[in-house]
Amino acid sequence: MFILEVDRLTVAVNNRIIIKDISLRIPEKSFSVLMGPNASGKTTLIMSIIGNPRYKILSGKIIFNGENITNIPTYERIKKGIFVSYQAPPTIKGVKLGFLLKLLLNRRGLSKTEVERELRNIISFLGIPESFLKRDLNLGFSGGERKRVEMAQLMAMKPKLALLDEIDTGVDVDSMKIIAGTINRVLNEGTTVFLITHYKNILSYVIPDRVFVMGNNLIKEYQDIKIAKLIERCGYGCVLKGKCDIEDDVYE
Amino acid sequence: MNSFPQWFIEKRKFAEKFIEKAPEPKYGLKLDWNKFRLSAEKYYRTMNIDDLPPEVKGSLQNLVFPFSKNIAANIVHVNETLIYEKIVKEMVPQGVEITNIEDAIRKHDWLKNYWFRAFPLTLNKLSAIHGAYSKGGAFIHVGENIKVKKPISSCFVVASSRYAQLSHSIVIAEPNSEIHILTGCTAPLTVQDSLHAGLTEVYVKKNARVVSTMIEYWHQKVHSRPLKAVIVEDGGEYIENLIMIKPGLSIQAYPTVILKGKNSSTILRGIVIGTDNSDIDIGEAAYLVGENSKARLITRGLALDSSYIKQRTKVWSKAPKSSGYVECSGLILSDKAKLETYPTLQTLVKDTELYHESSIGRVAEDQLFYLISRGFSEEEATALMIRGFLDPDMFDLPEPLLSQVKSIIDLIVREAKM
Repeated sequence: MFILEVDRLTVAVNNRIIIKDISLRIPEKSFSVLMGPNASGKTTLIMSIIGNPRYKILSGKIIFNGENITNIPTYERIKKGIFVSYQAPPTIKGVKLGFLLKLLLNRRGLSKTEVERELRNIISFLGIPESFLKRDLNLGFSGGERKRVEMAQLMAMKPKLALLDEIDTGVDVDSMKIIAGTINRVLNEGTTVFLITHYKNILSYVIPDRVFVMGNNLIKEYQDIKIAKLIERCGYGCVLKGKCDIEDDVYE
Repeated sequence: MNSFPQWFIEKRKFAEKFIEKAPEPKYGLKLDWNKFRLSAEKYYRTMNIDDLPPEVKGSLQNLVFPFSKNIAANIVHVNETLIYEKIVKEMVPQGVEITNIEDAIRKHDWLKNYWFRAFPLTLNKLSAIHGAYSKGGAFIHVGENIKVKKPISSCFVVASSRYAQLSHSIVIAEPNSEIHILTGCTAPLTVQDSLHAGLTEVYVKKNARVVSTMIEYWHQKVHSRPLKAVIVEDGGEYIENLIMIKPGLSIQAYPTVILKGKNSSTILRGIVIGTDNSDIDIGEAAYLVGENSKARLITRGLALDSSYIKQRTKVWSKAPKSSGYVECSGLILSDKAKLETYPTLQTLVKDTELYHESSIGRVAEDQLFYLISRGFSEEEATALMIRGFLDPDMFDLPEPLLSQVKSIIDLIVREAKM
C-alpha cells in the first residue's frame, strides 16, 4: 500500500515549468529521502503535494492514502494527515508558539489535561524552553530553534505523512541529533517520512528505506542508501547520468 | 443643590467666554457642536443596575466588566448621573475615595489645583465647552502607600439621543500608591447622533503606579471624543490600554502623558478595529521632561469594511538620558478602507534616544499560507493572524477580561467584510 502516489506531475510557477512528468510512490510507514541539486524542483514537488496555490499543476495527479487530492484545498489535504516543514519557517507576530501547538493538539481530540501533558512532552523532548511557548512564533529564534519548532508542530499533529523540506539545513550538531531523534520517534509511531536533504550528515542518525534522486526532470529511486555517499563524492550530474555505480565506487 | 465653590464658578465663566475664540480641534472628523444638547433631560432615579431599562443594561453588558466579581469597586454613569456605586470593602482599603466629581468639588477646595491642570482648558472648542458645561464624572483618590490590588470599574453610558455626555473625571494616585482603573464607554442601540466626550485627568505622584484600561464600544450612530491627560512625577509609572473594539461613527482620542518627574515612565498601547464607515483618529503622545524618563508607545490599527483610520504617535523630549520608542502599525484588509500612520519623534536635547517602527500592509502571504498548511482554512488563518497582530495579550489584562476582549475581537473579525 502506498501512502502517496505522484503520477506524471507537471508543475509551473509564474508560468515557468519547474517539474515535468514526475512520478513517485511512497510506501506506507516508510522512510524516504529525496536528494537533488538546487533548483531541481524538490520544494516544488512538496508544495504541489500540499496544494500551495502558487504552484500550478498543469497535468498529473496526486493520490494520498488512496484518494485523489489533486484538486482539494490545502487545509483539507493537511487535515487528511499531511504535515510539511519549511526550509525557512516565517515569523508570525502575535501568534504565540504555545497557542498554536495547543490548537494543533486540540485537533487530535485530546482532553484539556492530555493537551497540557502532551505539550510538556513535546517541548521537553525537543529541548524547547518553556518560556518559548509565550513567545511569538519564530520571533528572534535561531535557525536551529526554528527547525525544532517545526518538529514540535509535527509531533503535535501526528500526521500519516510528514514532508520535511531541508529540516537539517542551517542547524548545529545538537539540533541535528534532536531532529533525527524526532524522525525516528514519529517513524515508530507509524508516520511515513519523506525528507528532502542536501547532506548525508543526517543519514548518520537516521536510516532511510530508499533514496530518490531528482534532477534533469527525472527521478531515480535507489534502495541502497550508499547513493548518498556517492553523490557527495561524484556530484549529482554524475549520478543522474548513470556514469558511476554504487557497486564499484563506494568504499569506506 | 449645594452651591459650587467660587473658583469653580469662575473657571466655568472663563471657559464659557473662551468658547467663541477657541479653535476647532486639530484632529478627528469635524463635528457641529451645536447639534448636541448639553443636558440629557433624562435621568435614571435608581441606584441599582437591574432597575435600568433593558437596552441600557444590555449596553453595559457589552463592556463585561461592570458585572465581573473581580473588581474592587464599580461605578456606572448614565448620561450625567452617577447611578450606581458599589465599593467592595475588603478590596478597597481606607484612604481610597471614590465618589462623583461634583461632590468632590464641593468637598475638597484643593481640587482647584487639579481641575484642568493636566488637560488645557484652552486647547480647543471642545475643551472649552467642557470647561463651561461638563456634568458628572468620577473622582478617584488613592492615599499615600495604598495599593488597590483589584481594578476599579468606572463606566459611561450615553442613553439619550442628540446629546453630548461631558463627564470630567479626576484620578489622583498619591506617592507609592497603586491602582488599576477600567473605563468602559458605550450606548444602547436606540441612541442616535450623540457624542461622548469624557475628559479624564490623571495625576501619578512620586513612585505611584496607575494602570488605565479603556474600552470603547459604540455603534454606528455615536461619536466619541475621549479626552485625557496625565502628569507623572518622580519614579511614577502610568500605563494606558486603549481598546477600541467598536469605535462608532467617529472617534478621536489622543491621550497625552507628561513625564514630569525624574525616572518616570509610561507605556501607552492601543488597538483599534475600524469597521463599517468609522472615521478614526487615534494616537498617543508622551512628553519626556524629567531626567531619565522613558516612554513606550504602541498602536495597532486594523482597517476593515469602509473604515478610515489615522494613527498618530508622538514622543517629544527635552529630558537628558531619556528614551522613547514608538511602534505604529496598521493592517488593512479591505479595498474600501483607508489607513494612515503618523509617527513623530522630536527632541530639544542630544542626550536622548528615540526610535520608531512603523508599517502598513496586508496580511503577509507567506505567513498566511504557513498557517493554512497547518490545517487552518483561509478564514481561520486570517483570523489567527489578525488576533496575533492586535495581540490583546500585550495588555496584560486580568481574567476574565482578557478572554472576553479576545472573544469580542474574534467576533468582529468574523463579521467584518474584507
